Amino acid sequence: MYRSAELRFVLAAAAAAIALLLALLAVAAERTDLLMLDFREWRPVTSGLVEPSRSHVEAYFRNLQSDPPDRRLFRLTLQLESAAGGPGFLAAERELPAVDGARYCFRVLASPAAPGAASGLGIAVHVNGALAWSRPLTPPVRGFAISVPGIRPRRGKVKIRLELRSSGPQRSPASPASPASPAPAVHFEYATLRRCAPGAR
Amino acid sequence: MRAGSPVTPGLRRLSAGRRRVWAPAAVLGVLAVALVAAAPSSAVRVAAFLVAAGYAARVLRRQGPLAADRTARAVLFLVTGVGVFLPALIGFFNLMGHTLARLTDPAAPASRGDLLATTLVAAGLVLAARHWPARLGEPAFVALALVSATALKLAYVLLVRVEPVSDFADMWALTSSLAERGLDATRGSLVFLFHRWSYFERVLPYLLPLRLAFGPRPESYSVANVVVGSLASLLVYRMTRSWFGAGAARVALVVSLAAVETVLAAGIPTHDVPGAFYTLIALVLFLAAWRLHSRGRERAALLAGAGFGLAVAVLDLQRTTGSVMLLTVTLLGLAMAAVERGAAGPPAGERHRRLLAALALVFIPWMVFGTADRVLRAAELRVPPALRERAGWRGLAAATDSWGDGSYAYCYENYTAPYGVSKADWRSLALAKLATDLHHHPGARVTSYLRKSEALFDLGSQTYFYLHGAELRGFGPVYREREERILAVSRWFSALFLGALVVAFCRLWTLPEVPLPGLLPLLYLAVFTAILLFLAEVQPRYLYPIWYLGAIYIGALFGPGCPGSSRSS
Repeated sequence: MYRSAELRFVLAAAAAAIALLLALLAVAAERTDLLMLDFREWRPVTSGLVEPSRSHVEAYFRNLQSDPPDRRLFRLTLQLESAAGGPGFLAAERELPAVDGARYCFRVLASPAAPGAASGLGIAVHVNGALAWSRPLTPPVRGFAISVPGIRPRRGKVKIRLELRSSGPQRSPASPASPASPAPAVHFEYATLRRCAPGAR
Repeated sequence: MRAGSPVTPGLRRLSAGRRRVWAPAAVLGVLAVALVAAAPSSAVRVAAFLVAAGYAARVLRRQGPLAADRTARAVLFLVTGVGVFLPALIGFFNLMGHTLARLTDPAAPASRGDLLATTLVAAGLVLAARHWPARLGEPAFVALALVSATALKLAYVLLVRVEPVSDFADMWALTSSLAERGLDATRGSLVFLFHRWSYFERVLPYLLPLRLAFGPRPESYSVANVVVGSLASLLVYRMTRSWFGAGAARVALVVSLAAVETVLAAGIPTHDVPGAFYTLIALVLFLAAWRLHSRGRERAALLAGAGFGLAVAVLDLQRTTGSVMLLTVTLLGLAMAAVERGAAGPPAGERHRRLLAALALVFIPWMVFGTADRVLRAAELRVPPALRERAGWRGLAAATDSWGDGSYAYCYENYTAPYGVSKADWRSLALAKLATDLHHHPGARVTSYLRKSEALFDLGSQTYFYLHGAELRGFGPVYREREERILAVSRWFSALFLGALVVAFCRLWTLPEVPLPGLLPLLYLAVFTAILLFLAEVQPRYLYPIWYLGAIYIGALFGPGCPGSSRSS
């Protein structure tokens, strides 16, 4: 009833097409800026009203990113310490390679780590040292998309800095945060930096 | 096929070569036991993977369906093995482990007696079907099975009152609104909300006609669910009989009728029951088109192809799986058209026959489906394209995390709750996730597939949909202990079902020949499952058609006739 040689060709061609498609996707992903940014390479930055030691901030930052470990690649958590002595703001930054002359768009999703945890906070995005985007978080806050178009690289680099800061009074040892209130924190997820589509600024 | 060859080879004495296998097997066994003790969930997946890989290696050296062509057999085995066998094996281990663990929990209300009774009833039904006396005839068996199962299910839906919950409550409320206020009055509530639109699409081909015909009583849908379920089992019987013989068909019939979830699901205004029915209708029409073409009845084949396209359009409204169905049958239809050669019927050139096969099996169905889709869109009876596209990409972005388990809870916690209807570039995000996975760690996709298999094949676990606020008239509410026991029975039956399906899959590849159309339900199930596991959110309820499609192959396992015995449809 069936011609096995031709059926073999059809089925083998289908399997080869799928394999080729996956291989092309993998190669294209490597050669383009389609990939999401790997937050493991980002470095913590802190300054402001309370200045802990560099090692303290490093350890604190790394501890934040460790849960859940599998998602560390794509999710960056910035959390102000609820205990006294923590940083007044916490930021993470990274210099990313880019092509001079091209224009880039940076996108990232941001969401409070827990309901109510964003009260009195503000988020800012700095590009190449200049403030490019900022927004105070007023409850009720849900997740939102941040988009910064028209980025021009400097000397083959784009420096992105994500910042979470407290817009309210600074906590001090005399007025520690209530243990019952959640530590203010924001997740940044699924960031991309890619050449802007035609028509974008 | 070799006449008189045994269907199941008898036990033989182990050869010297096989005896040498015992040492490494024992080492692997010890390692497996250690893994189970240390990390039970990982052990399930690793064990399933090893069993599947070992079996694949073995089956590819063996003659089986499409025996003349090893490559064709390998590709078909790969697709159906990855899509059905491996996930079902993981689901089987998972369900067995879960149910047996509950037995050792003294606080669990489910008892050994419940599971023993379930096993005995299931085995009894299968044995009765398998050994049905020939002198009594097939019609008598079919009538007895259908009438008794339908009567019992009717008794269930009439005696147990269930409160619809979640999507089902919303769909029934929308149905009532449409029936009472009309389409124009209700349409305003649909704008910009994808899930409202999807409810609207789902109720059109089933719940709304029932509501208009029989009124607001729960019996309007529950009785119809029972009847439609029985008709679906009848279609399973007919298909199984045409490929695997009468004995297999009888077993398939009772298995599909007795599946616990098909009983429980009948009590709610669900889209799963009609979805499975329309799936089977579409398969039957496609196979009819192929059969008619093979017999040289080209006009009738074209008509059947058109009917298939229409059935797919209805299926797409009901369950949004029409495109998966079209994709599957297009692949198989093109393969059939490519390999088809002369058959009974009026003489015609081979090229002409191939063209007609492609017309009846591929082009006409696509054309009819596309036309029906356009007409429905013009009448504003389908989700607006922009809304569908945005929701589709958002769903893909949410479900394609290789580190997630693909469950509804995961998607809700990580996307629905934090981002709501946020206007992010979901298309870009979804593509970036897929590309990043492929680039950085392609293995994550494989482990994600295996992990999601546990969630998707956790069959029988969603009794909360079917027993929410349930009350057994005269005996009080069905909750706590009763619900726990029903859940345990449902999961145990599901474990038996999946175990039988896995064995049936293995058996299928030991047979000398299986007609190619006989692989279509398995191929559809494989493509459907693989797409869910690779790209979509997974809920065990999405696999509702497995109670019917899987029953076909379980029938082939238990049927006394040798499958493929000179039959071809």
